[in-house]
Amino acid sequence: MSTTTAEAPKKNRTVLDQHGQSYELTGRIGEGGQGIVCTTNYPNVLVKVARATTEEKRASWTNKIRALMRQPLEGLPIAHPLALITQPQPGYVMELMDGLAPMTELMQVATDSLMSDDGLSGYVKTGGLLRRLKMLARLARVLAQLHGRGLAYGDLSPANVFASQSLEYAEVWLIDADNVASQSRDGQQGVFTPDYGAPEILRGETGINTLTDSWSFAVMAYRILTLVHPLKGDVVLEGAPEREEAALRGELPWVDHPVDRSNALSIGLPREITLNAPLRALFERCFNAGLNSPGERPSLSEWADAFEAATGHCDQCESCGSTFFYTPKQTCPFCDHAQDKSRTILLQEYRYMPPDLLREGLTEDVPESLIRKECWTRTGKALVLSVSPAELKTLPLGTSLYADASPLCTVQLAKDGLWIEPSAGARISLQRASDDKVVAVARRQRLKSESRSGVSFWLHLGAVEEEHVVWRFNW
Amino acid sequence: MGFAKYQEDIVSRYVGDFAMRPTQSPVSPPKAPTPNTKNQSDQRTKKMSSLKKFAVATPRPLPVIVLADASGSMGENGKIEALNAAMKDMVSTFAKESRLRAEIQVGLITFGGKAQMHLPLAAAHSVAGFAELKAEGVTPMGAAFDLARQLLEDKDRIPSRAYRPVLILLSDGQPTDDWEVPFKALCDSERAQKATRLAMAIGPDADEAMLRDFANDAEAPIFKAHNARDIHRFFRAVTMSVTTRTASQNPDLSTTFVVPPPDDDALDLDFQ
Repeated sequence: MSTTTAEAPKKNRTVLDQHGQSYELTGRIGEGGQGIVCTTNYPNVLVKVARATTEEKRASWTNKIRALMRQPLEGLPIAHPLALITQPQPGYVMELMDGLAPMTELMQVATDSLMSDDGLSGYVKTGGLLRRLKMLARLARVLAQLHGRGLAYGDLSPANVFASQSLEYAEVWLIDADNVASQSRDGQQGVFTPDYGAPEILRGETGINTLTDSWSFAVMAYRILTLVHPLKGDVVLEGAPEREEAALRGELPWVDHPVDRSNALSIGLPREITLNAPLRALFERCFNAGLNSPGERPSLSEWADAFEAATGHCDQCESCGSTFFYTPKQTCPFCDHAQDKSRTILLQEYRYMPPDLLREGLTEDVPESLIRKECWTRTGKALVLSVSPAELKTLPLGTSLYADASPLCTVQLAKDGLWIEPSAGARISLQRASDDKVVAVARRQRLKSESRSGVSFWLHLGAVEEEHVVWRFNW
Repeated sequence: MGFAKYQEDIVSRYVGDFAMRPTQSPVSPPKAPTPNTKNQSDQRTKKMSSLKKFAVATPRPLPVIVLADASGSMGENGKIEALNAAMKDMVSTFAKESRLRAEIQVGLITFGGKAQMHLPLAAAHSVAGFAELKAEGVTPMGAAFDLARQLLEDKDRIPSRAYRPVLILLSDGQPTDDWEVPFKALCDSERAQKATRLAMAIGPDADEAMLRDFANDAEAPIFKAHNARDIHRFFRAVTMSVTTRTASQNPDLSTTFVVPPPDDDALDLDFQ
């Protein structure tokens, strides 16, 4: 008998793929019920080895991966199988960039910090509210695209979502594509991660589908932003584990239920400061109506729109560095600091329809005053401009085609004024509300800081005689 | 101010340069539009708290209690050394686990000469280390069962919100004290009945019948260790079965407690 610990260093294990390529396994980055994900001697190449114990299970797992390799995952940031590992255990090879960490890490840092004396510093130093919103917007968009291809992700949890460790980036990558399935395979797979599985999966009623993805995404988003679980109110947290199981099966109301406060929660980051009204409305739909009626849950593209729009509503505190949702009061809700109001301006989007176009098809008796009023439509979209420049496009942030929309101009708030730079070919003009004067902005120009006096301005992004987008702000 | 700079300022043009007005003007915008406060909460200022007032949920404890034989016979063939190393590996793996859902706690009761709480139940990530076990004396398993039952029933040490505990019993010999009554009392206690109970028989002299009675997972019969390496394999499997409780779960793949066969253990990876 001998002990393993006293043995000379062993060699790392080597595995072979279907093309005969060998990989040396050099470290372990993740481990779950289905297998273990290892780094290899090649940069950015990972290998997942299955945890199948019988010949039959190995064969079925291999078939599943083979099927997955035929799914249309190209172009999405999802680490998917590139080659099958055949020796000595089934597995697959995938690519993933370096310098990424699972989102559990960011949640743990923020939670540990609040449990210690460091308070919110962990939340802020992992990117604060704005970076979280950006990552969730990105994740929702990726999942919406996956759903658009007729596929469901399956086992969504913060352990499967990787984000850059650098705070400058808010990109996300999904790993563990094993469970990606076409929706027609409903009921086949009941895979889930505790706390993130949809109630109907826990009750054994269905397998994974886009609606269970929507649930898992919402739980993840809520936890990342507020650091608490939407189904674990005070009675659940203090109660026996059986009560937690019941709550996760959908037997108790959610913590922010508007009427039924039986599972209310007294802790966590206040939802009033971590969620804006559109996000709160989506969470309410998902966790209240959608708790036991999956069809009521918001789709991932609704989530993506709301999160993208929310990323345009943040300001950054000059004092504590937190990012927070802009309010007219301009006070940082994380530290009570009153912001210098000149640092930020709020832009609101309108659509302008020229009266000549509106008049088309109307009878003569429509009064001119009504037509002139109807020229302007407020879209409800807003943008908070503070330190970083913003690109104004034909569509506002929070619309699925924003990424592909053509830019019309860039606005930047600097110390010396508000700079407006038209994009090539765009026809931009600025109108002053006090006297209706209009000037064309043909090149990079500014409104001087000295001339700031709270007057309304209208930035027209388009030819005045055509329908176009207008952004209103006070200067 | 140079001319170019003067030209840059749009406002100054309003003042001095009427010639630049375009020929066609848009209709006057609506006057005094209401500010967009719709998306914002107005109660936030009332609820605003200083940073320190925010609290988060403490994770639910998941107690893992090991009852380990440290009698004289464990000193043979490197068994106690293997046990020490395997325990240490397990605790350090637990310490690295996410604590967002559960906080894995470890307690170690030993019986060698006398039964004692070798490592009081504590969060794995706060365990700095523990004194190595030394194999000596007789096998007072009955007294160890009493200690385990007292620990399980103590609501201060294991609050009612804790996840159901994992109890692990390992031994290489026969009990030397009066064990039947404490054994029955432990097995019949409410919490021990809910607990996951796993057992390992080390070597040919272990009391397999008793260990079999202790283990309560129908699909996981007691594990028989023939050498020190088997002790490691058992603890790896225990570690896995505890950590996967909070990881991804798939009913298609068995998550029952299975110690993988040694020759086929591709997941048993040691990285250099």
